[in-house]
Amino acid sequence: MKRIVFDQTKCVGCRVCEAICSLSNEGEFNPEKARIRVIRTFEEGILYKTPVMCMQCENPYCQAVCPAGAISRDGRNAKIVDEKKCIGCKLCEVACPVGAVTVRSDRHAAVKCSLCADYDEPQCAKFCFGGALQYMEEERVGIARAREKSVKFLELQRKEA
Amino acid sequence: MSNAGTILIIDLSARTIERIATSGYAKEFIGGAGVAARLFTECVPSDTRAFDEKNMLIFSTGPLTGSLFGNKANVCSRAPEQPNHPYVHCGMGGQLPSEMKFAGYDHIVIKGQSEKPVYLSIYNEDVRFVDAGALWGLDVYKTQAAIRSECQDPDVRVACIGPAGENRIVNALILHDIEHTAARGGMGAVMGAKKLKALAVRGTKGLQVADPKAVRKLWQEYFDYYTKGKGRLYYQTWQRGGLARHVVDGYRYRRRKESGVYTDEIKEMLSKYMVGSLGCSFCPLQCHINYNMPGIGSGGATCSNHGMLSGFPDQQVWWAVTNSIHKYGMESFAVWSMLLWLQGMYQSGLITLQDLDGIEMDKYAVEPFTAAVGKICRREGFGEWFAEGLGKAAQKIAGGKGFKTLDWVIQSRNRPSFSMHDLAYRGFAETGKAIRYRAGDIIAHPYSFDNYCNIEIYAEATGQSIEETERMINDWSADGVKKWLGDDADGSLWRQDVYDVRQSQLTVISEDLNMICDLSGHCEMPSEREIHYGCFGGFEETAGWISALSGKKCTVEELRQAAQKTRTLVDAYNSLCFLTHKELRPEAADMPPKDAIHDKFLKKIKVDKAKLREIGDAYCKSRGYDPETGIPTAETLTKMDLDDMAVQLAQKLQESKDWLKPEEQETGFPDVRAK
Repeated sequence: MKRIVFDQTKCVGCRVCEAICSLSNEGEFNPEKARIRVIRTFEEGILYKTPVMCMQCENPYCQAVCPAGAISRDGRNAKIVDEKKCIGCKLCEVACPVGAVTVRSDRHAAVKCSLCADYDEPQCAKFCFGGALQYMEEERVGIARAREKSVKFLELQRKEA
Repeated sequence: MSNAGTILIIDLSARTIERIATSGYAKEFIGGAGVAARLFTECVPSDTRAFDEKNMLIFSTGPLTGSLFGNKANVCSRAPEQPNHPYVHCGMGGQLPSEMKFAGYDHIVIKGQSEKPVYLSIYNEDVRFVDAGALWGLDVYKTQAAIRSECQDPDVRVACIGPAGENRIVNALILHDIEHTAARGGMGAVMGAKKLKALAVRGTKGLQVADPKAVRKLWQEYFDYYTKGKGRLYYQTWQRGGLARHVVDGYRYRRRKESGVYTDEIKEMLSKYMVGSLGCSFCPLQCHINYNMPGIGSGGATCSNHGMLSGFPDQQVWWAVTNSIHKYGMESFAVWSMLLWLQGMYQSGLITLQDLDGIEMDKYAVEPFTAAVGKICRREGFGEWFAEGLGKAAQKIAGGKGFKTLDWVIQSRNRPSFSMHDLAYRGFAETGKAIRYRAGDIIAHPYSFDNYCNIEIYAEATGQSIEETERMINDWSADGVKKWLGDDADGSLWRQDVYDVRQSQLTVISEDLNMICDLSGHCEMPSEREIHYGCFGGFEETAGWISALSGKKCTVEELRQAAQKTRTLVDAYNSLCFLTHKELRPEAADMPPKDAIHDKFLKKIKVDKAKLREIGDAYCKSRGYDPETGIPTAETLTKMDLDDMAVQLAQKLQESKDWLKPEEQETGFPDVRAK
């Protein structure tokens, strides 16, 4: 099973992920409609950038609170909204711990990341220039994270060698 | 066209808001700087000065702005920085341009002057004049924070001025986010004269796409080119502070090569103080740099800012002064030039400590330099000397004795060279400048056979030797020449020591490539203009992107015609402005060029005047300009449906015969040079 893995150290905050997401899923360039958002915060001349997207929780609150049973898990472990069943109550929006679900009046339904159900892979990860977003097999995530974190230790070892 | 569809016109004097359709202008001028030039020249008479109520300030986007292919705006107005206040368009990136499109506006035209300080709050259709009394006097970062807080929206994009703009310092800029600026021309001072503190824009409507499938396909090609293709090196080496290395190491390349001394100041600066990248929306390069130096401050820097670091490698002083210049809302190259010139004047005894209000400028240190920046921005004491720019200050101070120490560019244009490579390049860059130096645009372009900034960095990234890398880059440049001029042309046309009449054609192509970026909203850096960096994105690609986004076929021919028409319109209008301002003659260094290049300058870089003149004449022929004056001919203007300009120019040319002295036309440099 694959999932999107995010590496903050590689993110430059370019927002290509927002643009390609809205183009691929909505047919337009509109960050407001993107399923992934890069939150930009300015503090005293420093810009902080934090991407926010659906983490495809193992025990999703959005699914648990949905009174219409509109959210289900697909074969790729993506949590999918069935727009025909969705009543637009917004409980999922409230329940999501990362703020990755929104109810849109133009669709009368909740909108969230489906890992690009219409494509062979999530487009945000596919087109992430710096490799901050990667779509990888679950079993590789652990070792990938460990390797990422080991860089500092490696530097120390090199200095001592 | 993939335009938002609306031009928003705001009159600060009458407090009115009007909306007109973009379509009437976009057909002929595509968008961006083209539409802005037409809007401006239709409405603003040539006798206007930059701070007049009738001057306009236009924020313009293009059809690609808001998409993955471009996020640039142009800020356009009469520029107070230069002697006859020419019309200038200067680029500004960041998040604001796409936000304008998402709010539904291709262009925001600001007319008139407000009685009291205001800022404009634009949230889709909701446009308001908001009192900015409490913001007046705040620096650019505090202003943005206050507006975000007032709007209760951290995502509102704010472009604002600092105290320098409020005080009409001619080197004041407009700043957006941390380091996206409309820096050229003195646009901040124009905004200050209008008592407009800021423009705050938020848009949620997005940009409609006619053919998403085609756009995705083109984006895939773009992505592949810059991640796996020839552009890979450009992308890899520019991101994450790479831009600074290109500038600092690149400028030193020759010096380093000659001396054999390689230093790593910029690498140290980046590793110690860089806290992140900054850039335009949807651009993966994020080429600007966010620094935080403890005890000094945080902010951003771009390529031209780093140019100064290449000359004065004291990191602390460079950053403290550059950051302080930005916070006050001024252009760092101009103010750095003022400070260093002031230091030279003091050290040579031409001005005294008393003149400097007790500030010890002989030391290259944080305190005196930042204190001087504050004085310049507030027009306090000696700061008042610089309110109208360095060139003018130098003519006034110490009986004008320091004027001759300024370089040709500052003397003639009252502004420092926009980038450090301006003076180093001849060939087609100087051809453009020779023809057009009376206007605001700087056409100079960093192509030159032996001045590439990317040789060392590309060598490091590829593991190739310097010599191999140099050959590779020269081949890329030669490919460009062959593509544009045919197989019998070669890369030697870029060389400074080669004179060839075909260089006039290179000038035209380079200017047109630059202009289509200004029209479309595509950034000129990752474009064919930078072919020597391995970049792509020229006439064909831009036409393709526009077609896919808009669903209407845009041809290369249409694009080039719009670029040439814009170029001609701006040149005609600026010629008209020059011919109108008779009262400026004694101080204006902006003459129709006969021999536009200063003798001193010629000696410095060994320019062959006669041959350069030949190239200039060929350039004029290509553009349809009179080679004697550099002014578009009536025939050219009529052919381009610019009859209004043809009529006005004919009248002014007739009138000016009475006061334009033939010997002045001959020298090109009038009274200021004689001093």
